[in-house]
Amino acid sequence: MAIREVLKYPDPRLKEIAEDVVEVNDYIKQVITDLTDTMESSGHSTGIAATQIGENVRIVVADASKNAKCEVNHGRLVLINPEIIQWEGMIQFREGCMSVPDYTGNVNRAKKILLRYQDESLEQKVIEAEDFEAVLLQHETDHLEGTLFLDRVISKRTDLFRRKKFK
Amino acid sequence: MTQKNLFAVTLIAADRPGIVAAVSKIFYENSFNIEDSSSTLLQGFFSAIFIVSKEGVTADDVKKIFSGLEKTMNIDFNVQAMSEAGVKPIGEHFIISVYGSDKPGIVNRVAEYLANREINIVDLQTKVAGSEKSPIYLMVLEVIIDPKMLGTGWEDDLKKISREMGTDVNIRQIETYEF
Repeated sequence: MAIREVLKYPDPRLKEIAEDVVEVNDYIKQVITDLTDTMESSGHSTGIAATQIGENVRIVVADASKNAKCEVNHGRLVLINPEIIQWEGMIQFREGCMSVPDYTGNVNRAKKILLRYQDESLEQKVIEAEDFEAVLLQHETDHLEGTLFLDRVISKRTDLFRRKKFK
Repeated sequence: MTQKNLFAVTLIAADRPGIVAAVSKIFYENSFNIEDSSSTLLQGFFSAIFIVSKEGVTADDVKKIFSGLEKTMNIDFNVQAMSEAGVKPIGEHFIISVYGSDKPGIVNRVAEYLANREINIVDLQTKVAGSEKSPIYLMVLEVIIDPKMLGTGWEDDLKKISREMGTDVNIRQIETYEF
């Protein structure tokens, strides 16, 4: 059991692009265990990316069922080399992040996604996620690209009043 | 944490490039911290509120620091020392949009109702849009509602008020999640 420190922005490691996992060796197993322990130790956390604990590999652990309001979900997921392959619809949440304390911002996300990933045996899988779980998985996979929700925040004002003239 | 020495510096000026650059230069060169700020364009006027902090100065000192800029850029600054802030409201966040053909009293009817129910407005924007012949009034509010107020029918009341005014209303909860 290893609860790791969650990196806080402006730690430069949060802006790095994580490397693909090619084999599940002891190191990768340890990262998965640490991610799970760290997520579980924070009562409200529903997901964490390896980038957030300073490990530069493409692994996300998520559990949308920890949000009581999220009725349809896949429970705890260990996602290796996750990749969103289809987006549909749009949903807005106000997001916060363990790596960006004391700030929340409005973010538009796809309402429904198809996510391809490898499980702990590197077997390829595809799942469809919706609503809260879809947003959670988009937020976490963003971390693997060095993208924070701060890169996607939309201003309430421009969101509401932006006018564009099409000729 | 001890209370910081806070000032509100506000300005409204005919819009042009360089206002923020000029104001922030003065803050920077005089070692103020910008703690919080909000600015927007209202009817061609750039309207800005900066909450700044600096120890060992008074509101008069701050006003003097801006006197040069008042002359060169012809901008009026208002400086106010900040006393204790109100209690930060806790509860569920909702966005309320009210819109319809322009008529007097839309903002007031809605705001009075919310005040009577002790619902806190934390953000308010209004705009007149549409054509000159048929202007549309838009009001978008963010409110915080005490959890004990949920399910007491405030949404239906607002819908009723909106119907009486001949406007449309949309109420949606903002869900906030820390991932």
